[in-house]
Amino acid sequence: MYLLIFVLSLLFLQQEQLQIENAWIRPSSKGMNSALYFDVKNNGDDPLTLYKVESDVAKLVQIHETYKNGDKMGMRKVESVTIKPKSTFKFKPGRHHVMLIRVKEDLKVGSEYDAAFFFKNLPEIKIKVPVKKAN
Amino acid sequence: MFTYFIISNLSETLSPKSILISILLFFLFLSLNGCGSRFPESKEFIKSYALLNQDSSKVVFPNDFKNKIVVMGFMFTNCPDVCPLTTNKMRLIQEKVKDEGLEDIEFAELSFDPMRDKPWVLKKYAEIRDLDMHNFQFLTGEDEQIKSILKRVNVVAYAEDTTYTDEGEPIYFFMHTDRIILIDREGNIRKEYPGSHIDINEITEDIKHL
Repeated sequence: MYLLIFVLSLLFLQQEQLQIENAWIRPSSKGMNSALYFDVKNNGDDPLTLYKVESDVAKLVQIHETYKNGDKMGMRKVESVTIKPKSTFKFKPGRHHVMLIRVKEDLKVGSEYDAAFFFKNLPEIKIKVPVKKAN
Repeated sequence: MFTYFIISNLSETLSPKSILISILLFFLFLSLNGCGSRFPESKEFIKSYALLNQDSSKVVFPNDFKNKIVVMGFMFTNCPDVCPLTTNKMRLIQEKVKDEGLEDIEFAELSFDPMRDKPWVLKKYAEIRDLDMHNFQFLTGEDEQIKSILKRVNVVAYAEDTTYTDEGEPIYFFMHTDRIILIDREGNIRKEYPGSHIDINEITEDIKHL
């Protein structure tokens, strides 16, 4: 009973401390790659560190950063992303994103997939993410 | 003031008709120079290239696009982030020029990853994005043809970041120039833009001036 209250309290505090908003996935065809974008809102007084994202929609799921080198663009895997207190970090096109490598089916506009976000010292957060056409 | 001084002195020696013609020629010169500065270059392709489009149809580039304005991007289908941005920008340009009633404009994206981007792969890439393909093509071809075009348009692309699946399959990504180019009706490259964050209004205005 006390354990249940403890876990529920943790979840409630987590929800207060951070939110994952505006999540979406790019359309892609089976066997290719896609990207998951979202905003992480840190309402707390401590930094948050996202170190892993999981989803069954792809063979590999990695946190990546797109970077500029002169007039060239490249990507690199990053091990974690730290979100400062009282701030929102945007995983958006042309910047940080979660790469979905070798998706297992066609990702069509309108469909939804599960994704789990792992932050240090916090329970995982699971959400459903829609596939959307870019604006 | 300077112009007035010149004109007032000239009027003592030249006829009114001569002065009027000079003024008209002066403003004509100014307007032509204004048009010229919009397009900092004019570069020929020099030769033609044998390519395939997403339907596996042969395309002779740029010859098959003669008498059309071409908006051309560069991409690879395994790119999850920047290249889809470029493709989306081209889609937005396509919609804008259509809304403005501009005609004889073609859109082409060339893959710099011909080893993986076979025609059917490009076709799926286009289909899943629900692109309007009536004036849009994705191009691929022999490695040497692709390299030759990239060299001509100053686009660099090389494999860099590589990751591996659990089965040991290497999946590589390209470091590449982020570019869209504008080609005129004679097949000359007239302007370059940043591909993934091109100003839609700027290129639309440029198209109107070609």
